[in-house]
Amino acid sequence: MAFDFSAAHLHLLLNHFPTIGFIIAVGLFVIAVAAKSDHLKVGSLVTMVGIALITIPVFATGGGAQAQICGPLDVPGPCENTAISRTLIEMHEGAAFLSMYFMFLSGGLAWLGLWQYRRFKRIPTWNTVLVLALAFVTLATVTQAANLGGEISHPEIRITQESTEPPLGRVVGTFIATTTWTFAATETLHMIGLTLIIGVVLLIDLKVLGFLPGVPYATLDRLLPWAILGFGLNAMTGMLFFVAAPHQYVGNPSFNWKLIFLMAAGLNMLLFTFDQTWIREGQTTPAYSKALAVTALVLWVGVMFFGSMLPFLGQAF
Amino acid sequence: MSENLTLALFVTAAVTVGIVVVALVGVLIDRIFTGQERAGGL
Repeated sequence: MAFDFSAAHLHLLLNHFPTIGFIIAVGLFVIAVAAKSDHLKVGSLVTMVGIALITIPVFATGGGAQAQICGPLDVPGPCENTAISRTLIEMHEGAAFLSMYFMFLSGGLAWLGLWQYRRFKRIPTWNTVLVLALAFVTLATVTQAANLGGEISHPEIRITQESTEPPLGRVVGTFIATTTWTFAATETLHMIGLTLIIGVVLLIDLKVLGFLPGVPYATLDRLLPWAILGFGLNAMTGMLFFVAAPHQYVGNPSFNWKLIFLMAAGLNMLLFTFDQTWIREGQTTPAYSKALAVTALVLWVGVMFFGSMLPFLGQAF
Repeated sequence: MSENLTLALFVTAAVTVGIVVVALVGVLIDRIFTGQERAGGL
């Protein structure tokens, strides 16, 4: 039997993380609040951020899965396989699109909570309440997306009536794709998000590597929420490009590599957020923290390189 | 020409609004999340 691992396989593998993974993360957070355990809170917040990061490839591989079971993404009309409903796929895409943005908000808030914990040694009650409230709303939207996704290939559990209204993903995607100014403006904001990330990450990494001795750690650490804001902004604007022209990204090797580097860079940034060792003023920075700093620079260069190469190596646009 | 001008104006307006929103959110996050610092938490 030949080994065949496609975008559909990857989507089926990854799509359980935003549902089951997030349920576990929220469950752990509730237990942590009840048990008044800050360590468990940190663990569940890390899980929430990780799940929010994974949501990006989950959504992107959904496009590949659609191309495989329905046909080319840029060709309108019913699926080549008449047993598959394109309307249902697009309803699933719309629900997933909404849940992905809620996931970005939840992940961003969880990330800021981790930063707060490292800086102040505690997470304030108001942030705990806010994380919980947003997490439950996110969970509701993710569950809806997962339910619609399951119905695509499982007619035996299908209860959803196909809507005649265009779903959210297609409404937003068509708007971005057909109005030139939105695409240009979103591209500019994507660059602003990038400068926020690179500006802060570069300064912190240079400090960790022994440069910038005159700048205190606490001053640079205070900039980290700006990098988190830049990451959130770019996740949001980046996925707007994807829904506007999914056929340009699906199967594009530059996009695949950009996602791989992005996931690794996000993980690196996450490790940095709760790494307690590099922040101690006057002490020798451990090799582990220095390795994190060097890999961060390499990974972000990789993200930028493959982002820039989308039209050249991947022949998009 | 006028079409290009309209496009430039729309993009400039949208980017300006975008930058203002990002800056406001950033300042808000800094204010809220470092509140403990000003209260002597650090």
